[in-house]
Amino acid sequence: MLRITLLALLLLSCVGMFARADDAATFRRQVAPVFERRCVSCHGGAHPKGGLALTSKQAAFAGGESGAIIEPGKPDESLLVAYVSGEKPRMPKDASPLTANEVAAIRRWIAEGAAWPQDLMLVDRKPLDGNWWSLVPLAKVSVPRIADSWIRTPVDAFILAALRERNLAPSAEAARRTLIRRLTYDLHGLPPTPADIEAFVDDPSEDAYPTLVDRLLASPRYGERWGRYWLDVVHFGESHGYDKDKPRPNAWPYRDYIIRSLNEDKPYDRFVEEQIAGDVLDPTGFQATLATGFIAAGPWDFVGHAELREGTVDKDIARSNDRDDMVAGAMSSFLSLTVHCARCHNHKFDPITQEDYYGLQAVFAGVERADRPYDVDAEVAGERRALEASQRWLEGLLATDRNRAAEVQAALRAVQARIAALPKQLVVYAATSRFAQQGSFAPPAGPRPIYLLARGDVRRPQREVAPAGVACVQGPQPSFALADPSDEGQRRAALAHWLSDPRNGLLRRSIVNRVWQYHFGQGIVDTPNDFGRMGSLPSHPELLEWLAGWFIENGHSLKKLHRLLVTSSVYRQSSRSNPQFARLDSGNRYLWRANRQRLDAECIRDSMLAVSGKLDLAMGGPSVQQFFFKDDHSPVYDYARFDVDDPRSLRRSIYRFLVRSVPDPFMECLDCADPSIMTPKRNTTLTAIQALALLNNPLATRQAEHFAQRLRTLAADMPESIDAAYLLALGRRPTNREREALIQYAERHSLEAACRVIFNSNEFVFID
Amino acid sequence: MRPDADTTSRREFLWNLGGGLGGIALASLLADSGLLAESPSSQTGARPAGSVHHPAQAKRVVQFFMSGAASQCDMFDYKPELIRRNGQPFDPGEKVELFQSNPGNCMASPWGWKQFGECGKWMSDLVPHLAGCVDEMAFIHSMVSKSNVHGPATFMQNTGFVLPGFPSMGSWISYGLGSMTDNLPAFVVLPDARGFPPNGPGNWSAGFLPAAHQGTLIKPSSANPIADLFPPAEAKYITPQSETEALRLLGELNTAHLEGREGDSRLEARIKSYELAARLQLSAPAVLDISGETEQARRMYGLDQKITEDFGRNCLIARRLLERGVRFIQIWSGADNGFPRRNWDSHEDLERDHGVMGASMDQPAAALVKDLKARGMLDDTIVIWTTEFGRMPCSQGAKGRDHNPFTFTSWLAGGGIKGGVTYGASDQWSYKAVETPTYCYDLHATVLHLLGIDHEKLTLRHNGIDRRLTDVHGRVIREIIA
Repeated sequence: MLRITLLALLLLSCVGMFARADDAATFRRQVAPVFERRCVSCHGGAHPKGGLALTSKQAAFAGGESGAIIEPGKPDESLLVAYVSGEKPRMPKDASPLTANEVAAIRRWIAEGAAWPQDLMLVDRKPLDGNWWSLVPLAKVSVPRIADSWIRTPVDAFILAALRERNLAPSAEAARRTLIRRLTYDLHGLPPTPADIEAFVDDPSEDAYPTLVDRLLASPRYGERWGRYWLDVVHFGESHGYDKDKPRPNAWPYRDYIIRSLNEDKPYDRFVEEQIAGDVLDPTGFQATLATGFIAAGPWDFVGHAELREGTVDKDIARSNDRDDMVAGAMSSFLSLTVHCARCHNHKFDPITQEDYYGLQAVFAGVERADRPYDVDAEVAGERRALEASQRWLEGLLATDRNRAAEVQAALRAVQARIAALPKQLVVYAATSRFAQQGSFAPPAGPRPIYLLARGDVRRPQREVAPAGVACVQGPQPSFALADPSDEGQRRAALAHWLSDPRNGLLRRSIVNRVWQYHFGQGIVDTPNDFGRMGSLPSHPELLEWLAGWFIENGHSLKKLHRLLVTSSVYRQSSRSNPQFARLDSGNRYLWRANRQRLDAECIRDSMLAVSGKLDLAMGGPSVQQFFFKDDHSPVYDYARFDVDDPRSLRRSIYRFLVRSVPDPFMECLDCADPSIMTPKRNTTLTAIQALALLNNPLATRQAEHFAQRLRTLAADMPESIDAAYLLALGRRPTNREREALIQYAERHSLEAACRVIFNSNEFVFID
Repeated sequence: MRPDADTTSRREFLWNLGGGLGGIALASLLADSGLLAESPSSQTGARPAGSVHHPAQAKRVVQFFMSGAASQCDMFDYKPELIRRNGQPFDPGEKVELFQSNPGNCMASPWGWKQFGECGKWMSDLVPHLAGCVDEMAFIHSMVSKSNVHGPATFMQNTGFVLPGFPSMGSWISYGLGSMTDNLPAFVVLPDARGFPPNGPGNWSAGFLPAAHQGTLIKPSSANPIADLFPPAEAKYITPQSETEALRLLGELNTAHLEGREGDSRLEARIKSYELAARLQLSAPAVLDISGETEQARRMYGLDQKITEDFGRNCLIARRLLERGVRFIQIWSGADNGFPRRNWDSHEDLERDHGVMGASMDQPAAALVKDLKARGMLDDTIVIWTTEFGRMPCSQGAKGRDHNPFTFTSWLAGGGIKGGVTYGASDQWSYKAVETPTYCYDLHATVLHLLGIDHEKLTLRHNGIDRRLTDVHGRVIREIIA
């Protein structure tokens, strides 16, 4: 009864508001939208054209360089009307004139007194090109019909057609010794063993190469290599960042989830869905819950969330920044869209509105980044969920029905006892709506309301926005039909399905381009996180469409995609340059040769360990802390105070504990990704500091010693040692000159010193 | 490093520096190849085309960063009204939202105030030595921050953004102007001897710029001032002789490797990087060795007193780095937020904690300004003194001050800056900027301008946006330019 009365009062007060605002109805409904779509993009912002801004009442009535433009009550004397009407209207400049209806609405509004509510701010809503290449549905593309013995796969046909158009031609196939080194680094991030090399080089069978590809793809080393790329993209780190950079000891299960998913060849559409809403889509399977570590991967402002008081402006800013990171992460990683550019204003270049942006913030409005408990056993998980539901129900009952208090309390105690008796839960740092309170950081009661913010300013909320996808992505339905919008899980599940919708071509274009980039050193679209107007255009647009379609037809299998790409002739070319072609296409955009690649930080480090014989191939589990750690008000991470002989040094680099504020200097100078920013493609620098690190970092100098010791066990004398060193580190035997020089050097100084030289050679870090 | 340096004593000197074995080996290697004869200031640093937009008034920058938020109203922002109302309720006429506390009473500075210089600037007794430099300084009393939390605010002063992952001012300048020397990095960071500030090395990160532009950490008070500059002592198999020959052998192998791989400039760039590394091994120990500095210089920088010793050493080394062509140096006063206090974050006891921080900073910082002036270097070296935000004029508890993002003070000197001026003002309390509120964007734009860079044109496309140090803001503060 009470509720009904309140509702009635609320409705009555709303009616009253509308009645009062009615004199501005013409403006709100008919004029403001015209200004926003047609005028504000020039007459707004920091430097409005002609000094005239049409963004607020005050600015519009102040007029511009030509004086006042609105004379209330007198449309014929208003400069605004004169500018937009007539035979050849002066405004909008260099664009189609306003329609007769629009002009009439402006006249009527002025005639009625030009009411403009004081607080109504207008924003730029200029419609942009909705048919941009990346936003339209996937096109059916047929493979170019070229007969040429060079062509092994459809990919080759596309590449060859593009080469011929530009008077280019493919290079010869690389030697087998080069191929196995290239392929092993590409798929495993490690050097091939001498035995593997010799077996492949000597393999007489026709399908020696595809057999090698299959063997490498079947190895768990594959997931460790390619998982690292994904962790770069999603800016996965294991401390919060900012001031008082606290560690996240439970972030690693997400890393293991990524490696496992890749090794199991989980279909990519499912992989995407799980990372957005795995906990909702598969509530009993704990693996899918681990996947939501994706949402929590980025930095988190501990002080802003846990120390600032609720209700302060800075608290709201911290929260808004946090949502922003989730939105940017999801849209950059999965769609290569720069939706985050629409936080303060509509996207300047792509058809993405502030409405779109805040609709995505609303998707994540009910979750925070926190430690989330989970059950490994599906039955236990189901039982726990049922018991917790009973508990909530009983608690509610207790609060409303005092008559049966004793009875309810007894039942509640029984339920609580059964919950307590369940097996202990494990913990993952992930997206969650339920977690233990920490200072002022508490679980939200439900999704927080998300408002469109003028200029992105939390102090200027405009109107509440509902969770939705991005309207400009053609195909899937952007508006979500949620049965219960107060259930935050439904919001994320809806986004997950919107992303994975088979009609969402952008999702497929984005991933096949990423995979292409890592194999070939350069994406078909060279801006892997930006498929918008400010990004690059595809070098091979038809190939990209064809690959995206092929990927869907092949069950979103990443392993099949790898196989398709690396078995192609274009992949198997020599990396040798050719002055004539270099003049035509110096950047090798059309792939007339293979791109030589410098190994990344992880590969260099892992290779030293592999070559020295010390690499520990144990998989998964808590990350290894390769630093001295002291937990404090502000924790201390010190890499210099860590013993390089500690067994934790010997794990693969993907298992390193990744601190945001204090990255490992050795890895950082080798262009390792900064976990505070999304890194779709690493920089490759060659600096003096890098040279010093490879020469003098204790890890490097120590591994040179282990390498030498290993050689002594493998070889009888110095010449044999040098041969073995070359085979292990560089995959070939030394030339006579190299052998002589190294023997002489090792004999004068030490085998250790010779091994250190090999680790520092260009050949060790560049892969042909 | 002079071309006529005595090679024998130089070798001994390098060797005796502890990590010197690489150095001595390289000294001989470079002497052989004639590289030693090159002047350290040879302009060989790569710079992106078109990064200099107008004639520069300065070519170097040294920035003091007071970590933890240094109080404007206890050093530079003199408010007689605050002294008058000491102990009375603080009521600026609006709701005051503070970081940790509810506002206490007005709290006058525990330090007295006097006027200094020809300009007659009021300075507190906490900074008596800086007070002697006021005629060189331009004060900005109306600095404001977008965050009242140390982490985001410290990022903001360094990178223009409250989020992690953006390039710092030093990185942008290194990227825009390149290096003035091949022997030392373009951007050097000297942290507080007690540890890193909030955000750690994220404050001097290159973000999405190439890693070469990140700040190189030098810790003069530590056993290994530059990480990995020389082989670790445990690697006994590396000797001066093995090192010389190793680099020669490496050169041979890498040159042979070039065959058949023509047209790939990265391979040659990497060969060159080892030569640059060798130069750094030679120049870094020399620049860090202050044994040749006069007794008077050591006293001036406070190396003879415990309280000023560490910061003073950093200031003196900064001067030596600037002399040798380093482009941008950041010197930190204050480490992380922790207890006992080791930075300027004086929530509990301002007099005690600012007393220590001020005394450790004042004399050495002033010494650097005066020394640069005496050497004729102040004309083209910009000195910046800043912090992440200020402190409240009211008390927190009985004796502390809470964060104040609404107004704080930065000052600049040298390199095209007008001396003895004050720009912007806070209100009668030193609570809020009321005249020309100024963000770091304006300060950054001004520094870039003095270096010949248009802050709107120094950009790099990252994740779909043409990023700048000044985001979409920034105004060159002409009022403080000479």
